[in-house]
Amino acid sequence: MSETLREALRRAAESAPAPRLDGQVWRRGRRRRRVRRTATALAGVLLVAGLAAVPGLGTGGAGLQTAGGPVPGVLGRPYPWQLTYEQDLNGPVAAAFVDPHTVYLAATGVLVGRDGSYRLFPMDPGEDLGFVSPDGRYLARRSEIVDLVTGRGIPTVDRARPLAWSPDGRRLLLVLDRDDGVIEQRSGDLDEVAYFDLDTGGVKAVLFTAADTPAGAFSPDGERVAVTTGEAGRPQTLTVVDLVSGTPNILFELTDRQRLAGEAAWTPDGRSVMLVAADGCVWASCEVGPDGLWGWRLQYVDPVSGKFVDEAAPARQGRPRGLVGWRDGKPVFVDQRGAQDPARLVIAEADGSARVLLTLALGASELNVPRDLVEHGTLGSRTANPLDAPLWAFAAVLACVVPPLLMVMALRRRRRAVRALRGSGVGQGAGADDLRAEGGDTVA
Amino acid sequence: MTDAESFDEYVRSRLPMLARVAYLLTGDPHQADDLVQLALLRLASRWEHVSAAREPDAYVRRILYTQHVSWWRRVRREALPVAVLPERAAADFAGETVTALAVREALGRLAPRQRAVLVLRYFEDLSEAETAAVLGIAVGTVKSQTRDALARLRVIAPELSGSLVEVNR
Repeated sequence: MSETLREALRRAAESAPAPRLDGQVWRRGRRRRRVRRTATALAGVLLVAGLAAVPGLGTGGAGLQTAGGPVPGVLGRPYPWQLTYEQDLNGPVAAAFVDPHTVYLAATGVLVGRDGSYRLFPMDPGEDLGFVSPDGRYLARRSEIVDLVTGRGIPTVDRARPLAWSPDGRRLLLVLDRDDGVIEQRSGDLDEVAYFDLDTGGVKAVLFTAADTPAGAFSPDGERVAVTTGEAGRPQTLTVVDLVSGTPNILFELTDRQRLAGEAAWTPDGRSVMLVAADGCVWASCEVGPDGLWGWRLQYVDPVSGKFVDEAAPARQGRPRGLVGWRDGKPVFVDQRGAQDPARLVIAEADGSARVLLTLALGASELNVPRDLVEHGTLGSRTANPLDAPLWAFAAVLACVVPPLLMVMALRRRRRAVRALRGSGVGQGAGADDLRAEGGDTVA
Repeated sequence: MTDAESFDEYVRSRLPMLARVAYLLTGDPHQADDLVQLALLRLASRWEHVSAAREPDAYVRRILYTQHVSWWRRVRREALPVAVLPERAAADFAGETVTALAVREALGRLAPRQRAVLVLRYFEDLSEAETAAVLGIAVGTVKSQTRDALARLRVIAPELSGSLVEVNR
């Protein structure tokens, strides 16, 4: 045993001066406790407030809801810093839409994967997002088709705009502008409606005509197409073209209150082509002033004779953006009345009512759901994950948080060091004030 | 008995001992004062939990040692100018008091953790396991720190060398 050391330590300790206590230790300790608790509560409140302020956090849905259930699915908006599809591919997708508020400042495409992941699809200003193929694998855009599984771009025809996918997803109906996109069309410069074959990579012409605001739809068997063509501001002509024979069947001119229902305008049995007819405003002005649209109705057109009949249902409400599929024999529309209203995927019931399958968070638009999912799939709620972010986003957060934190730590360390030095000086023991200032010190 | 009363009673009974430990650790009466006050402030702020766990001694001891190491880490970065170089206690084998002074001066030249280990082991008479628990380090580290501290004491205070033997308990 090291008794000498023990004894020496004991004797050294005996020379310790009598401790000075100001009698307020308990009171000051309790104050310290109150300050600590208040700071903790404040930090908690700030954290919650900060999280609530994160854009898009509150727009996500809670839990998965089936389309057939009483509550429709909800698609939340992405976080502005979300990964792009090129950084981490998430195809095939379950939905696509356009969001105006991302780090790209302009409207940006958003791809929602089958696994619920969100990816941004940056676009040039004024560009359309395009059409998602029925299986969700491809995104048809101007001049190309983007494979969302591999990220590869498949060129179609320069400046060709997509109109509709065939139900099997192997053909894409296109329109080729001949007006150079700048000057008014000259006589003789006819636009070309054609289709791109994904298997062969070839393009086959369907129709040569003026097509400033065209729309089109493949028949269920993929052997016919219905297209509406014409010059802007003039009546549009509905034509059905047999793709096998190449024979066009010009049916009739639409009024300005009629238009092709959408990409899935053919009824599942292939016996009718659907139009949507507006009550109130003409479609062109309904785009500007949606309040002028009192209602709308479906019309069934015979693709051979061109005769059409109105549906039996009374005027439907909302504003149909496109017929995108058929579920249980009923047409499914994307409906969005105005920019201030949420886009919805709805079933147009026979009695004129609408059953909501999916709602897009307010502020987003151009909802696009693959046709296979619309017709046979489960449409669940999806919420973006804020951590699906590129490295630069994490670096930016660190760059904002770390320097002030380091500065505060350095200042505190220096303050304590100065105080400790002052306290170590002979005859300069720390007084009550010094100790009071010590309040924020930390020890493991 | 209220919390305040039980705290006051604890402070009255333990204050002398705490003051001695703090003095051995710091070697400076003012810093020892500060250290004790800070430890008691923290104890007061958590008194309900600590007294309920019946571990106020362990809690205060831990604050004393960790805070002491923390202060030392900050102060060592700053040079402290002095007008006159401090005198060192010279070896004088005349008596135990002189030896105690030599030990105190030698303790001041040890690293803070080594100093803490010696105080805990040879003044507070804690076992290696208890010392490790207070300092939050492994028992093996306590052993190595003790060995190194004693070896260093033999060099800087050779007058003690005959009595410095490592103890394993």
